[in-house]
Amino acid sequence: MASITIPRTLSLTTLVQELLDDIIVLLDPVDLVHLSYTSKYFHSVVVTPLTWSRCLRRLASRDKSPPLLDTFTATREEISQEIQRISRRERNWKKLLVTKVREVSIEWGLVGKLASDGAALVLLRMESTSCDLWSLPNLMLRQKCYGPCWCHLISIAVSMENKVVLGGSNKGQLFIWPIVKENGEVVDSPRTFQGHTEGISCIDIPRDGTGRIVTGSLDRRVIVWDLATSARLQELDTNRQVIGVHLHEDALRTFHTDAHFKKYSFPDFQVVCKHHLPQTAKSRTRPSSGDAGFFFCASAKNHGVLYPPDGPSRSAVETRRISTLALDGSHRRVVVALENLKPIGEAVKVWNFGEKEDEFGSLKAADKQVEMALNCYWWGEAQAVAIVDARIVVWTRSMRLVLLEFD
Amino acid sequence: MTTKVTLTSSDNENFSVNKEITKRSILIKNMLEDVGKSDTPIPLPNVNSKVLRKVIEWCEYHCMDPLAPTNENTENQKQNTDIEDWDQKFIEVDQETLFKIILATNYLNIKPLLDIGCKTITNMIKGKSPEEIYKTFNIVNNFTPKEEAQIRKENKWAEDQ
Repeated sequence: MASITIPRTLSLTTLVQELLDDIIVLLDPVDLVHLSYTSKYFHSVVVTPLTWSRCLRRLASRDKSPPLLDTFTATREEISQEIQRISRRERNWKKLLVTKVREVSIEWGLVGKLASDGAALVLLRMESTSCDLWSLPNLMLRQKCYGPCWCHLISIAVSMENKVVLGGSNKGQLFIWPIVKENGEVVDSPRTFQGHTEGISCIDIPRDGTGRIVTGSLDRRVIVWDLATSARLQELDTNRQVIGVHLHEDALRTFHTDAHFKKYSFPDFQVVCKHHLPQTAKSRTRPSSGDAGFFFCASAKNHGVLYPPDGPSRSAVETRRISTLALDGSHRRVVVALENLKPIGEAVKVWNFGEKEDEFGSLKAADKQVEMALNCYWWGEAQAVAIVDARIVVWTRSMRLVLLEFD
Repeated sequence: MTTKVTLTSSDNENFSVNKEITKRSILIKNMLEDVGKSDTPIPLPNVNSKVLRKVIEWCEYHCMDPLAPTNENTENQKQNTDIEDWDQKFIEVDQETLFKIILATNYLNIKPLLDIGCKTITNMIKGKSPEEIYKTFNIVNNFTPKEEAQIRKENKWAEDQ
């Protein structure tokens, strides 16, 4: 056991190096730079390849995507460049400044849903028996997942961590399609989980490495499944039709057709709290999404309510009804699309929560070209949105996927 | 069987603490395992009574927490600097005491409390300008104006708000 002698006056300057490292590893790039300005000592501590490569690894693990560089072999210059790119992107997100817009046309169909796990994107057409897995950032169709012809899919989810695409049918089956490898190699065969008696309206895949899946259904039940063994682990009857579900650590949250929100303890399902959103009519309740402990719901009265993992809920109000939404919990942002508005610049609103006021902001354009794209009427209304790898994907009525970048 | 353990601080104050609670500290836990049954007080020459009282208070509040989280969990916790409400209140002390708690928990090997201490310092640095940082921590800026201009030039990207 190393003995530690306590210096007479304690401060950040006299802290032993290993403890200072524990503090530095939690800092964001800009904070590191600011610390390095303060004195020669901190400059020497901060400006080391080790500090910067650790910083990059931390940013990457926060983004839930592996770093684009090998942090052990990359040069200091490369690491610095990459950190600058990520910092710039975060800053643009805060300012809602779109730097680039790209679009692709997709196969015709009724606009349904987009789902993302932060790394991959799945797309579901309404009344369709199949869904498409898209790879980013090049926007390429990677895989088509087909369900049986006697039912159609009403909910989807994807998990790169578990390498699966999930689809819930209107008849209550849950389909599991393994993601085909980059080289086209098929890993596993598709599976079907039977359990719900009515349509599966929502699917959540907690990113906790347990391989659990949670489904919510119009049969009023929530089921927790084990992906590896296909076993039904737990079941909860909520007495209300479920349209949103999210499991995070020891809390299960549900959102229902009548705009009720409930939080249960997990795994013993005791009601911890209840809340209901303002609404005009039952049928107008909007969907919900969960991520990283945050849960976001929107109701018919232009209200968006955010439920953080702890602490009170927060709400933001928009001028029109919210038709579709996406949540990026680890970066604390919500993207919504408003009903019946054509240019993406008007329809898509972003709420960076935890920043100053609780309100939705409008996208801004970095240059003329982006401005034209954001004001373009030809693409039709924004019908579905997703956040993938710090980009916003918008699915418009004219069957286009529009990718908004912040790099 | 004795369930109480006596801890002696650097200024010779004795604290009688429930044995299970002291096991939050890996140092004391190992000591107890090595020594076995013994009623002699455990001397903690690096921790004074004020700090030890704080640390015991924390251990008592957190005595129901699960011990030794898995490696994966600690990796995850590293990513955010959020602190629970009770801990936030607990850690609202002057800077001198804060650093003493950090050193004491490092010595006593109480990882969760050490993390809270480090996160608190991190939050004191976050989002601040260099000027605010050296005011907060009483750092003496020993750069010459020329050197300072040079390093600020190198890191222009961080200032481009």
